[in-house]
Amino acid sequence: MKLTILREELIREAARAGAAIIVAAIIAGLALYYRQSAEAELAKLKRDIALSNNRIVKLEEENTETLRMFSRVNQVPAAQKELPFNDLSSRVAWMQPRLEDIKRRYRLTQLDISMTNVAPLGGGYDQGSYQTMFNTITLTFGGLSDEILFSFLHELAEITPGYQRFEMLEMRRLLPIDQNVFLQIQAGRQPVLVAGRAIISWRTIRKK
Amino acid sequence: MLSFLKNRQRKFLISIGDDGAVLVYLNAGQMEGRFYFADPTSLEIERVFASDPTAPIYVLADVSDQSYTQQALPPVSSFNVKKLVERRLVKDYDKSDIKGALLVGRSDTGRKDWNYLFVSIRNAPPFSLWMELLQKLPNRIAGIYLLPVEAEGFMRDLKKAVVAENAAKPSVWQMMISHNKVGGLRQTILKNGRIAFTRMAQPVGGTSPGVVAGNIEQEILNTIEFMRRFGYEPAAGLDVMVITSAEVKRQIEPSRLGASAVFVVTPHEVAGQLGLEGATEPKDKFADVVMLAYIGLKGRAVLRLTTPALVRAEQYLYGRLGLKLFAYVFVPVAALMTIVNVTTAFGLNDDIDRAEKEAARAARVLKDIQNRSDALAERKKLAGDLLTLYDRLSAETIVPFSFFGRVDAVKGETAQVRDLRFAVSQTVDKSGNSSPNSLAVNLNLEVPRQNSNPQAMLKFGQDFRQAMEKEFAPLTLSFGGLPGDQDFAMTVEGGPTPAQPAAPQPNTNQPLAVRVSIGGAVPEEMRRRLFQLRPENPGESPVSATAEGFVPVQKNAAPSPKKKAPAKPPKKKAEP
Repeated sequence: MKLTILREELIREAARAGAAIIVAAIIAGLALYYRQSAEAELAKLKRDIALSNNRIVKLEEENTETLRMFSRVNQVPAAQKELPFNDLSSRVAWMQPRLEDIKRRYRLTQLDISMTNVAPLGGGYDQGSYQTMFNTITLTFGGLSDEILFSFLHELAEITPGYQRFEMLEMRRLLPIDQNVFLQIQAGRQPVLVAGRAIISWRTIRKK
Repeated sequence: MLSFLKNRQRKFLISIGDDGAVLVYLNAGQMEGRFYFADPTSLEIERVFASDPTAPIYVLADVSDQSYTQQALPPVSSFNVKKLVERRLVKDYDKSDIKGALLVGRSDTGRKDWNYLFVSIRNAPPFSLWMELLQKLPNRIAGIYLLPVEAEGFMRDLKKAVVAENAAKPSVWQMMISHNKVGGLRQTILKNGRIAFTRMAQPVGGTSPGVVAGNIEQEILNTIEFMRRFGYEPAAGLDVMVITSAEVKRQIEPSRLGASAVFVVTPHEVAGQLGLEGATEPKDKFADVVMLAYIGLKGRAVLRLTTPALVRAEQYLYGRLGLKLFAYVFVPVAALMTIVNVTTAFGLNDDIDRAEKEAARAARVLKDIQNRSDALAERKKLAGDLLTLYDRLSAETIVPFSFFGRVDAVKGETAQVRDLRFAVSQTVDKSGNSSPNSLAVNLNLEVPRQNSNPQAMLKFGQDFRQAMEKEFAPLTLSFGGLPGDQDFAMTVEGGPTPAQPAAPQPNTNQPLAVRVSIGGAVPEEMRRRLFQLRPENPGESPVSATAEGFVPVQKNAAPSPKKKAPAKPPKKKAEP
């Protein structure tokens, strides 16, 4: 065969083959791209779904924890939540009639009270929207027995809203229970057999 | 590269000699045509080749103008010896010659030189004229081969067939004289199965069988003489095979030849021996056709020669073939991949639809939960703040009632409290953290004397101390005035009255004044148990006071009755 004819045929064949190969490669490439795009889209959707589900689980846990917290708040006694005793007058207004009642019922022979002004406790007792208001109550009291006095103090602590902290309590027996005491009582006097003093820090929560 | 295929391919084999060319056409393992052309100008040639323009042409040279030279090359590596061969071919032969080299062996002894047979064909008429013709044809020229060289296998198989018949013992030398139409009397000599040399002669004095037979015998004798140059000795053995017409065969006298064995066969007999039925006819006189048939149908190429033009043509042809093959492979593979990818992608569409719906659902749920969470956020903050304060203020609540209840329970009715002092303190650092509550309690008790039973008093003192320490551990307790801690006087009844009073005696009727101090940091567990308004797990006292003194409570036993048990003092109205 003549070389020129062979060369021409080679060139024609190369052109034909080349065109076929290029077209096939382009189509295959497009198909591959199409498939990879679909796979990438599917993978992205799955990732998004997983992220959303994770976030949902986390939020549900947080909400459950929040509801648990609300439940706990509901269990806090009303007397230990936010209270309107943010000044001295409100506290005196609350305390005075009750002390008078207690004095009468327990037949205390002496009951004096002094209160300091109400002020914020500050520092770590401020928490977000809430702050702690406090004042100091000094009680001086006397009665027939230490049991009566303990009972009065206990009832006072129970009925007083907020939080009490007995900073100091002292009691002493002044007179022995003897004939003289009975004679005084018969005479209508009320001897002070046991006297005491208590210093109480009275704290309440206030919303700022 | 290419070898003569034993399969059923279509091919032309042409044997070119000084007296024309013999052409055979093989198809499907059968000879379908045989032609003789006296010269390349015959018009019939192109017509024959045109009948199958795609069948390749194998050219076998049987011209007289061939050169065979044995050379020994130094014992270099096999890679380097090829370079030596190429250099020799370039140096020792004309550029236009068609040349090659055949490795015939290596020396067994000595330096172990490489023994090569250098062959060449002069690219001159008549051979060149035939090549010009063949290169113009559309058929591919598969290669140029030398008939004597390619006859190695022919002679080997022929010898096996003939020897089996005649049971001749193996000889070192084989000589074949074939009477060829295009070449004349072609003598091919093998030593140990490899070609040693070849000779060509023309019958002289006529073409009658007797003359030809005589020529053959003479050529055999001449060649035997020539063989002596190559180390031939009669003792090594020489098998002579003569292929000629039946008429000439009858005229040959083998006994005159001085060979170990002489086999005279006709071309048709050879075809029968070699299984080439249909390749020859009984009246065939010349060996060209049967040799070509063997080489085309059964032989393996020994030495393929080529020219630069043939190489270039091959490159073009193989280039086309390669491109075609590549396209034939690539395009279907690409199509298959396309189908697979497209099918997969379509299949993924359903998955994508499902995933999109799922993603949308998840996003809706997330948004819903997020909205709920956002709505709760402020309340949550407030609740958190409130609970933090509540926990802290609750932890700092101190009411002493349960504490004194336990003191009362431990001391019992024996001792009476004369006075008490309770104080608690706490520090808050700069960060707002509170220290544990620090307690300081002082009690003054009165314990009636039992002068008549000092042992009971001593026991009371010991039991009271132990009970208090056990009840209020780990706080620090100190005691003063307990029986055993102080001097106390005892009057012993009886004996004479002393004349004058002794040193001033203590008043043995006054109760004992016992002091108790309790202090230290209050553990949280104790705070919850003893210092809250509503204590947690007030529990039973580990000791119990009875009229007989202090009796430890047995474990797992029912608690002993107490005079004063409750943690908080009962609400009692004052008795008038």
